[in-house]
Amino acid sequence: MNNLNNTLIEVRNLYSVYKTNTSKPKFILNDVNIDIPKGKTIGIIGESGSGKTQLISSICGIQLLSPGVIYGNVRFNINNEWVSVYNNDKNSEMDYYLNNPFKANKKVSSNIRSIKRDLIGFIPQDPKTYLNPFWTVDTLFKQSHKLNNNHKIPFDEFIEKHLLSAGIRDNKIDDIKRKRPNELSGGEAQRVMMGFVFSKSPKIIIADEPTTGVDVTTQKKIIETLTALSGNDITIILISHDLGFLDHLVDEYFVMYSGFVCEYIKKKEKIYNPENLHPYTKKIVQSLDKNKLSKNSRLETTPEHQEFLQYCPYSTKGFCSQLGTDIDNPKITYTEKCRTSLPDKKIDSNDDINSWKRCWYEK
Amino acid sequence: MFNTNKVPKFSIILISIALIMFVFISINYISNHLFSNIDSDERIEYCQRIKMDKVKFIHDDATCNIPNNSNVCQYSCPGWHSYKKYNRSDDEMEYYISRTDFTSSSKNIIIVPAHASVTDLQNMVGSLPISTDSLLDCNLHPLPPLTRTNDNSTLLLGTDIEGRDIFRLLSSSIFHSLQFAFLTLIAFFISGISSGILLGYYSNQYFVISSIANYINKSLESVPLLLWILISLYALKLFLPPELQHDFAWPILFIILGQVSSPALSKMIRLKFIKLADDEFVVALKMLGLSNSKIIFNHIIPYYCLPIIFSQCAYIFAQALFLDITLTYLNVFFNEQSIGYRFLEAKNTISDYGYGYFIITSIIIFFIIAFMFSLIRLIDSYNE
Amino acid sequence: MNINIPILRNINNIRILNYLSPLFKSLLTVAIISYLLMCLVYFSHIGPIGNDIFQQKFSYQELPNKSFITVQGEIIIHYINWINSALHLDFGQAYSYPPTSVLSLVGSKIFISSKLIFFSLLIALALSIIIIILRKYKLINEIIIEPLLSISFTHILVTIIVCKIIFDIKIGSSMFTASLILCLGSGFLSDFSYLLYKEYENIMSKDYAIFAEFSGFSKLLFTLKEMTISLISISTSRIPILFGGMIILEIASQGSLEGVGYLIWDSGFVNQNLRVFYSATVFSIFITSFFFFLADFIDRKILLKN
Repeated sequence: MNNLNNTLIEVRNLYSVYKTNTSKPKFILNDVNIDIPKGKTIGIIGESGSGKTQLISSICGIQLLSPGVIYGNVRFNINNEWVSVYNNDKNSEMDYYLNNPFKANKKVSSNIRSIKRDLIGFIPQDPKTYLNPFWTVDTLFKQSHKLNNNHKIPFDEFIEKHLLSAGIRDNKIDDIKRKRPNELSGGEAQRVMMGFVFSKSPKIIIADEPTTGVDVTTQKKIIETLTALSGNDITIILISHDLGFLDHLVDEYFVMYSGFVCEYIKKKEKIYNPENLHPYTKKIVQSLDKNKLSKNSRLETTPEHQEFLQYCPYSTKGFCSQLGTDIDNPKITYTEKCRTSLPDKKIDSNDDINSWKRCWYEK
Repeated sequence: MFNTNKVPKFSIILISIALIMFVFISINYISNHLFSNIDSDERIEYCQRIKMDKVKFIHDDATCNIPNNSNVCQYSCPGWHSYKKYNRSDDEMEYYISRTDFTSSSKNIIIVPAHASVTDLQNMVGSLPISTDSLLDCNLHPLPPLTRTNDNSTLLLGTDIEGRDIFRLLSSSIFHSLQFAFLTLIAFFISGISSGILLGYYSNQYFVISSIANYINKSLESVPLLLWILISLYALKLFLPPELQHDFAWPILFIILGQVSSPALSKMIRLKFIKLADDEFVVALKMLGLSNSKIIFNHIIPYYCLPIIFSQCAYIFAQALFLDITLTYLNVFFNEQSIGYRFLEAKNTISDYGYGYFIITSIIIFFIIAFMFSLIRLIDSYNE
Repeated sequence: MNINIPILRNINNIRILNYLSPLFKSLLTVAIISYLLMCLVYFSHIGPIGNDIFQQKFSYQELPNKSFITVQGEIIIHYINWINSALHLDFGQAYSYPPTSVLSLVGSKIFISSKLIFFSLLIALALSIIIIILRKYKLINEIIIEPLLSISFTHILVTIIVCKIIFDIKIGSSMFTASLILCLGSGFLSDFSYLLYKEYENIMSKDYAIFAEFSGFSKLLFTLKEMTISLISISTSRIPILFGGMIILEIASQGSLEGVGYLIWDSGFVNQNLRVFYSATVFSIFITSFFFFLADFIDRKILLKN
């Protein structure tokens, strides 16, 4: 486990559950245990539906699906002090909270709001829908102008500075200030969103698939801005399913599958040597090079979980049945072991900087 | 199939009780109408013989010729008139005799003392003999619930003051009210779906007609339902001949109610059609060469519009029923076949004949309401 | 290219017309329905009709058969006369003794009805907010809230009669009691609270509200404008429902609540006064249709646009 100085966010035993119409609960996040380090650019990769956005929103204290409950221990390291967001880990209360989500949500600490306001900047996937449709751009910037010490700068200067830094041309600023989100183009909206987020001077930036649906020039601008920010003691968390985009920016990876964080890669060069990776990570890396995909590989659906995870979710795939028997116990195949018990974290002993994966298989 | 977790438990209990009652009423209604010619309005004959030792004599303004024995008097004066009243609480028959013009009767009247035997009665000599047959009283209504009648059938809820079987009366009233509600439902359904299809599917093709239809729908919706009902009632009273008003005014009113409420259904169906009009599967169906009517009635309505139609129809059915009960109770319109009229009747006879009929009618109405609301909730729960 | 200023002015005028569209639509609705009502008033006459269509004249002479066009022509003339006097706010005399003009009579009754509707709206709003907060508690939701929202006029009717007869409890005719009965019994509270609750959930789950939560800002502050506009739109669209319930309540109160509903009932069916019946009905239709079209305008132009 990382020590106090290096870890920004500590997540232990995080579950996110919501009730469906059939009254059986659906687990979106399963037993997430991660430490997000300070000052690094982190990438969270996984296919659609693996729970990436849910992970980030759960860390920020937001339950996206209703009625639902977030369960676990999450705390932030602010100025070398731990600030707890959640602190509930009694599994027997899960049913009670699922039936009374109002009571579960009361468990979220009130500190989280000030943390989000002062420290976190969130860049969403589709900025046009995430901007307030009833507010013009300058009304939006008035909210960030009231924060921290921003009010010392005159408002006009404040808004112009941040719109310019987001890549909006000088001659268009006055026009854009008066517009509502539905009057902006996709690229303009994304730039306004970035300008707004950076105007809060956040220490943690979370970007959820920021390059999806925008033009190439805006994509380039986003990459440039994020590259400029990285390394300035700002933690950037990028969510994407596009490994190619993340590779330019990211220092470390978390790989997610079916609500389960199956691997943490501390040194990104490991990605280029996929043999030692988790089977799922290997598949993602191999999918970048289409020639290396085997003839038998095919698209498969992500499994859903209606109870606490008791086995590796990836073990249901055909790949793991070919791994043979367990090194420690030759009487059990990997198929049986992976399907009956949840893998623990296995630190890579060859690597002295502590990447880990959750997989029983050893060569 | 049904997510019963969504429906509160008390609704399930009420539905079950209401369903049992519904079955009861149906059996009664079917058996009465298939196997018997007795109408719901017909008076039940129920005669009961009063016990001899319960007979009590009370008189006023009478001259007794034998004053020594107050139990037996002989009256020789003509012009005496008597009537009898059965006092249910004491189980006694009281005879009142007063001096009025006496009309001849085939029955001889004797003033009967208490504890007299049948032989004593027959041996009694007096100018006003009473035959033992006259102790048979057939005017004993209202009868209590679960009374066995003379022909060995059971009156489940007893009778009202006019001798009508309350159970049959209420069941026929419920069915009449349900008939009116069905009329509303049919008018609502036809009108709502046809205008919804016109405004939703054909709005681009027949732009002018659909704009006018849209405006008419909105105008209908903008005026409160009760105002439409009052205006329609006024018009019906004007245009329907008096002999037809009793039979046709109320049904026509409920058809108008269905028409006027149909914009709600039409609006929802229109929105669905507009949403689906550009959908790929509709385009694909058109490319396959399917006619518009097939697309609408075989694909869109069964798969996309049925939940809306079910819940709106349930709602309008309930609304029509409640309106019938409330308006007949408030005497907005005289409709003696309605369940609301029964309630009014029951309320008006409380002071004379007790709470029995009133309580029964109130419970029936509450169950009807509960059943309707629970039905709506069940349908909504199924749709979810 | 130079743009002509008169065209710009016309465009601006059209925008003003756009904002007045609820008023125009309601006037058109009133015009059509009032014409149909005028036909009813015409046909309600047994005898010949003089200059004043609202005055009943009796005659034992057989009236000649008139063609449809002649009849419609006569109705149109009477209707235009009525509109002409209406534009001068002269609706005639309701009663000769004491002398009361129709305008003052209907106006005073509408004032009473408006108070009733306004208080019902306030009570419904307060109760809806409490319901939205308490709905989260499952037990309270099942035992108190759901039965409360299932109440109809029929329930209240039976309850009041039972209270009056069996328990000898007198239910007063105060404005608060009447508003509460109207709010609960007409199904308004159920409809209103359901719509408000759905709208609240809908707005709170929108992307920009989630973005506000992510950014640490107050969700309520971000969504205040949309919630206010939705509240106004929902409230105005429910006024016709309240109006309908108000008519039942006023008739049931048998004169203790003398609003416009009772006036229509009394003048149309009990103590026939055609002039008052016609004017009261037309006024009521104008008010309800105006609020309906206003709510429709807010929905289409303001909410959908954004």
